Amino acid sequence: MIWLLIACVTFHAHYAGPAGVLPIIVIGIVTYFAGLTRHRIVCLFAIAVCVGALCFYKYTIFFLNGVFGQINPEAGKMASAWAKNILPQAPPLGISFFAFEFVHYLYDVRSGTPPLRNFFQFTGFAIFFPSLVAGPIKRYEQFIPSLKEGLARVNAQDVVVGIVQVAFGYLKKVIADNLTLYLEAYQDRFADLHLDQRWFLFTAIAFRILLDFSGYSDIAIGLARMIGVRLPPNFDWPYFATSIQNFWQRWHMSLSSWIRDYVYIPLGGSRHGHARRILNGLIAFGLCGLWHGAAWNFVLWGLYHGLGLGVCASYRYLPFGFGRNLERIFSKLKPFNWLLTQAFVWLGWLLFFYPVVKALKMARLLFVI
Amino acid sequence: MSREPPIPLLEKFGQRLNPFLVFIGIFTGFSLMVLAGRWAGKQNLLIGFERSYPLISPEGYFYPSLNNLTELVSHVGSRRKILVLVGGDSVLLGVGQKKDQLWTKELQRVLGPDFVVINLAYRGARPTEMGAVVAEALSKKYPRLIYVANAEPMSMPLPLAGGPYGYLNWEAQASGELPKGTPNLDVGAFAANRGEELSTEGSIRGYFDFWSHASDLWNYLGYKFVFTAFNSLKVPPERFFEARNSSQDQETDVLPIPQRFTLQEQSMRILRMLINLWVEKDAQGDFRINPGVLAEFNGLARVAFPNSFKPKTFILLVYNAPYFVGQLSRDEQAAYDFAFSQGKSWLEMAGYRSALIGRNWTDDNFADRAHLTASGGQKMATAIAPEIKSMAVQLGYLPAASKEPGP
Repeated sequence: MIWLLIACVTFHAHYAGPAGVLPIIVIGIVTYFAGLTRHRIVCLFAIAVCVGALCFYKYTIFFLNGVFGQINPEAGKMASAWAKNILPQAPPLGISFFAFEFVHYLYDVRSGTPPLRNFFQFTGFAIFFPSLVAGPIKRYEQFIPSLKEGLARVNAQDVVVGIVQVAFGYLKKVIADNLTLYLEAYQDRFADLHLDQRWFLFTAIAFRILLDFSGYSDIAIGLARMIGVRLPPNFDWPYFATSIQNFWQRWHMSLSSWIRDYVYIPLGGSRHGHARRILNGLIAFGLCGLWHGAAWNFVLWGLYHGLGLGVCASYRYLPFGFGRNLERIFSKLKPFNWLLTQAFVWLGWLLFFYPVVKALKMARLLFVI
Repeated sequence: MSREPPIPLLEKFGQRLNPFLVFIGIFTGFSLMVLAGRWAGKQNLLIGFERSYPLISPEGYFYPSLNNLTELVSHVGSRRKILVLVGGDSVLLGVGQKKDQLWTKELQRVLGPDFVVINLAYRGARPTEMGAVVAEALSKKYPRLIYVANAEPMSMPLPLAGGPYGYLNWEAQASGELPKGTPNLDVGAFAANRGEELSTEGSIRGYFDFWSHASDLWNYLGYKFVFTAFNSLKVPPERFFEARNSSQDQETDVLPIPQRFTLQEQSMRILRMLINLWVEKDAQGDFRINPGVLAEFNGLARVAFPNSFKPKTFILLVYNAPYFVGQLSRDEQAAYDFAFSQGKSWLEMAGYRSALIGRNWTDDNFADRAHLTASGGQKMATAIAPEIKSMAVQLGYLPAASKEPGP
């Protein structure tokens, strides 16, 4: 355990640098001691600190430019210039993941789960190096037993499984990096491409993000497994999903379950009627989009998925039996469901990667010779 | 939005494997690859090499290893001849000159059979990168060596850690072949911890490459059989996987005057910016080199090359095309001349050989603001050949009287 902690601290300190480590130490200490109190208000305060730190480091410029600046451009410009002076050049390494894991910890402790009293265990949970940079987002109730058991009983088979996963992860990254280079070369000339080339590029966008992110997750999960620790899986063949809900059960699973447990359900989930359910889904996915990056296109991408989920969950309630008939038809047309789902998801990637106007133009050009 | 976590396919696959066989396989496979890389590193990969071009240089994701370049020199050069290694940037690479009109060919012709000229310049490379690394790494094996590079006046930048060519410096440092006093890479241009990160990563990569021969093997496969990185410089880009030995040096024809002198405003802005950076006027109204620039130059020129290597280093200061220089005011032109003449003097004071190239040449000699045409290249070769011979005499490579190769 001590060697693992030394490795984690070294990794974090080296890649995050002093400016990146200090804020994490502060919110980590706040989280640890707030958890020990098990006091609801104290935990709530600590959650606010974590979310505040995330907003401060990642979203200050976005809020000042993209929101405040829209209301008062001059003041927005001045405020963002001031913010750029006080903020580091880049947010602390992995702050989104730290904030989400700490919020999960505090929320669960606040709900009655026992806190981690052992400071070393808490540190291991906080800065476990394989998942530090980009997840998967861990749950401490599963992670700590896995850490203890894994370190005590790691065997050759674990190492082999880990190696296989890391190797496949690297393979995916190599393909994803080539697709990135391909996209960089062609995406600005999208309108000049032939229709088949446009569709190829569109497919490349979808596979690039899948292979890049799932490749990284494979490497993280595989590295953890090589020391006996099992991290939660993050991807499960998402492009085989046959509905949007099914897609989110397969894509970035640790994030989607986090959003469900700590945003959607606390907002009321599906407990307060249909309209509220759709609204909660939109809020949860709007925040999910914003979590991916501080820009409006990410928010729109989140809302797009929130809306898609809302439609999926409600179409069967359409009047005059129309909804039920539709549901019956869909249940018999699995390939069509798959096609519709993937078309929705893949078109959504255009919103994710490009400004809205460009994304819409690209989507239109997929169907225009 | 969630369900029971599935057992991943890779987990199932991994569980079926016998650990003992996997470890033996990894060990054997890695060892075989190292051996294969070691063998590949001893082959002269770049057969028929005249100069680098995009698809066999880092801009085409082909990163020639130290072994690739030293083996090239070993196969082309000879210890019985005086080795003239040309480094520097696109000006000495010969951008603006077709392969068969390359200035280093003319230099070889003028210098004669006692010399071997090899062009190891790369686009955008600093005088301390690529060709310089090879020259320094080979300075023990080839004691009769002259290194030629170009630089801007009052400038001697260190190799850039985060740049495209820093990798070769790291690899050479790991090899232990560099003479004592070779500078570390310039990480100062980055924020403190980012610079440290680059140093550590670059250094680790250098050691890994040196010991594992990974780049040697990868370059061998990519050059001879199949390339693995997409590159839009490849035509058509979809055929990026083709072996790089099937690619061609395709320098295009130079446009007629004045169409070749594009980017008017930008070029003039660059020229004026440089002049204002280099030169200022003192209280009497006389030109002087900006003291800050001078101090920085002296500091860098002192450490850019090991002291033992400086007398072998010939730095060319190449003027810009008269088409642009002629558009400067008289005062600016005088300042420009002053910077070049002072640049040469300060380089010589720092222990280097230096020459001014392109002063009073015609627009015909330039392919654009900075690069030379075939005629310009020929002029440069003719201008520096006597200087190189004179260096060879001074360094004891040639006897003074007969100017024949020394022992």
